[in-house]
Amino acid sequence: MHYFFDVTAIFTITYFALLNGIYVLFTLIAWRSLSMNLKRRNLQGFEEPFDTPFIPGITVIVPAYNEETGIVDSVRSLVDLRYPKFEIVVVSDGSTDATVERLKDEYDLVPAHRAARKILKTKPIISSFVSRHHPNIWVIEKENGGKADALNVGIDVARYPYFCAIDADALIEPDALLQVAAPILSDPDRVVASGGIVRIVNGCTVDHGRVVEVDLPKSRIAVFQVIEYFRAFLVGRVGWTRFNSLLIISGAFGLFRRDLVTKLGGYATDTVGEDLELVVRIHRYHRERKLDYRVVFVPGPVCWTEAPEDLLTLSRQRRRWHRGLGQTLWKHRAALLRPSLGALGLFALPYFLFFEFLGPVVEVAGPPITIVAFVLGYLSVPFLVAFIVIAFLLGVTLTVAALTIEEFNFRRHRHPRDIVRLLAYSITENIGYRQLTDLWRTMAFVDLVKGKTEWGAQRRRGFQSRSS
Amino acid sequence: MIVLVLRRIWISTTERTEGRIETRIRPTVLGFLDGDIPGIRDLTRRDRGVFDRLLIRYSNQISGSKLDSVSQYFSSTHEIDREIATLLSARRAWKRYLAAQRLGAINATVAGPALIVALRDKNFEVRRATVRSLGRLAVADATAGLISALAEGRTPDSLTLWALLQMGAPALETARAHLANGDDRMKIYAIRLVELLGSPRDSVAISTLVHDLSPGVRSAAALALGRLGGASSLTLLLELLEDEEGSVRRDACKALGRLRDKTAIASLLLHADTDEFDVAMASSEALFATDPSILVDLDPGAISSALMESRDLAFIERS
Amino acid sequence: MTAPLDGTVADTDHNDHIFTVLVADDEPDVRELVSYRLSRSGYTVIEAKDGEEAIRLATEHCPDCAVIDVMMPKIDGYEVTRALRSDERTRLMPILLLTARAQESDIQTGFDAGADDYLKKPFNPDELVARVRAILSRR
Repeated sequence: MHYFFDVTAIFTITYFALLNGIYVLFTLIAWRSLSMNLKRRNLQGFEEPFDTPFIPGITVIVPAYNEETGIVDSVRSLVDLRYPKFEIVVVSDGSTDATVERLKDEYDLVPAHRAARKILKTKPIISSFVSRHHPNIWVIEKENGGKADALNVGIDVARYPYFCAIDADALIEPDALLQVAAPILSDPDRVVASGGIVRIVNGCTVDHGRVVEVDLPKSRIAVFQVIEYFRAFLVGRVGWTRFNSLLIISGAFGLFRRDLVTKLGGYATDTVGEDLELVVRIHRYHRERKLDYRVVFVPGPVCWTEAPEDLLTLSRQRRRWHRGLGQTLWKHRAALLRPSLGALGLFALPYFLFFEFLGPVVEVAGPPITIVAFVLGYLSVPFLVAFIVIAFLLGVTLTVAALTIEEFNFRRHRHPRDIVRLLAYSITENIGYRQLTDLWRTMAFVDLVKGKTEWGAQRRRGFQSRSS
Repeated sequence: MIVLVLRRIWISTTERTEGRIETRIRPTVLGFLDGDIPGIRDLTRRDRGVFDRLLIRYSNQISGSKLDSVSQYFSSTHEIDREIATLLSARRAWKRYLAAQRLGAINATVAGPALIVALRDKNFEVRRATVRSLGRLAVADATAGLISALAEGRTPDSLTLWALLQMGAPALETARAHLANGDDRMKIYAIRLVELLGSPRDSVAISTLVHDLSPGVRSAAALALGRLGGASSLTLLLELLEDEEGSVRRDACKALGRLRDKTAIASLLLHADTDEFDVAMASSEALFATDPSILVDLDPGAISSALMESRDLAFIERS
Repeated sequence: MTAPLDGTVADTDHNDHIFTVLVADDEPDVRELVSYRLSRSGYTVIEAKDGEEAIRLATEHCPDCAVIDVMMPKIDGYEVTRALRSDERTRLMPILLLTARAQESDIQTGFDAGADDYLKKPFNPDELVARVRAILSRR
């Protein structure tokens, strides 16, 4: 019995040390990496030259299912994109609401056949429309088949060599497309995919598809997510890019080379985390063939997305993400710990398996085991207290570090008091919120073992100019 | 944490003060650009900082003779010399990067030679900023340096080509010479430059490349002929429609779409019905560009997906 | 009114009518530059910061001509031009488009939409004034 708790203790400490060691490493990498960015931002008005005819075109694909509340604002933000050559293809995945009607009204859509390559196997297209005034806006209605299927239709009809997958409820900043394409423009032969940053729009003022004022959400749950996203994006992704093992190009905003993805068979329709799965497949494809390639995270370009403000929707979202992670890891389990796959096999995938996927289970199992140990008298209280305090402080420090990076490099929030609020929340995040997300992720783990695969409905609030 | 909050407050206050200064100084800057030079004599040091920044911001938006006064101003404050020195000898890459950017922004044409040297800087970002500035300043002497950067892959293609475009005539001269380059990649770049800078006379030189061994070169030649025109372009492009490589056929279609010669319609119709999507699409689009009325008469049941799209678009255009 | 610095005669016609120019651009710097230059040359300037405002001000105040940036949020310069051309009040207004994009297709789109002239960015302020004068004298 004694041994059990000793082993557990050693295991916990090792786990904890490794995880935080990685976080610290990534934070340092992010800090160094972004300081160049900082200098760049100090210069105003010196943009990428715009009238070069050598820029490759991009097809922006917007998969949508029942998005009538936000679709017009979202497409509006896309129309404003400052990029010389692009088209917008909205793919309605058998929407049963007024998604397509709203677009018809706003953009004067008329029916027109849209040529399809028919290379990717997808559910059939029912009808397609083009905008009379904006001939680069197309809307395609297809039979319901899921987000991955809708994206694949978009890829199948895409006209340009690159495509950018954007969520239907996301708002993209005007310079975002050019910025996310920058690594590709610099190195078109090697960079095959890039992604930008996703930020939370709750609380911001939105006018005609543009975020005009950045404020913190009023909802506590949303603020916690703001903090989480900073950590995940500014620290996590910058770090992974450094090792060319960036696994997550956010589904909300990612740029890919079309012919490559077509060759790989498009998005997988059998997983919930199709964005993650595609990126892993891209990594494997290149690493297995020893091809020189890069997948890059660009911290500048922003995609604004709505965060759930009620626990139910949030829990569904987290469980879905976790299920997607699990499915992808299972699908690519052959790549785990393979030296031939370099940083992907030896570092990224194992990390995601042990720390991201199984991690919540460990963290949820912690308290009960501790209590039992305590009751049975195997636990030294000072040790426990020290452990908890250190864990807490470390968690807070890392979060604050992420916030610092945001502050120094991007400084989007207008009011100093927002910083204070964020700092305060970063302390409380570790008491309760984090545990809650761990619980949901553990539940997803259990679900996965039981075998669930659907998406679940989502409550939409839509984008209006609002201050709440 | 405290640092963050304090820093933020400090930044806010600074921004507000500078905002006020900016509003006050703006007429002076605008006047300066208009030729009202003496007006700047009464500026304090703090004002100067804001003045410089505003001046750079405005000069990014304009071109022409006004920019000479900008570079003269920065020359007189020895800013240009300082930036050149930084560009060439600073140890930290980001400092050299900033210098490269600023020299372009302040219209420092005298910095041309220094920028050309910086095309060989160790750091990629510095080189990229250098190319951008060279393009902005249209430093003709940099043509050779840019071409060699292109050949050695030291700088991003699209940006370097853009910079060469800004050079105009000297770039065209060099491009013409490189049409005979041994390296396919450089040949293609040369063709693209001639395409955008050249005249119909150049189609003669390009037409010899239509039979090059490399499909990439043939493609580029096709697109160039489409834009340049010239007596034999049509015949050559129709010939390229039968090329063994799909990508070349596709680009020949695109080029025909630019020429808009109706005699190509029959051939285009043939190629619009093929199974090869890219070729079918390109020829359908070329047909639409040349003569949409042809498409209207087609039987929708018997044509390819690509033609159906162009046909529908032709109908919409009509209404 | 102060004499313009470029030495030309203030742009008024024989009836001493002071021309009004609408300037539409989402970049405040560009608006300031253009407004300044035009007012120094003797024009009255109205400013719009996006396409919607441009259409509204144009139809309300009926300026003598408009300088419009192509790349604006909400409604771009081509849209504005088309809208002005289809409105009785502004159908004949001379329109000069400003843009960073200058490929043939863009120029063609501009003229198809109904613009009278086209100027590339970064623009030469003197040339801008000259073009404005030219299109005003043509109409």
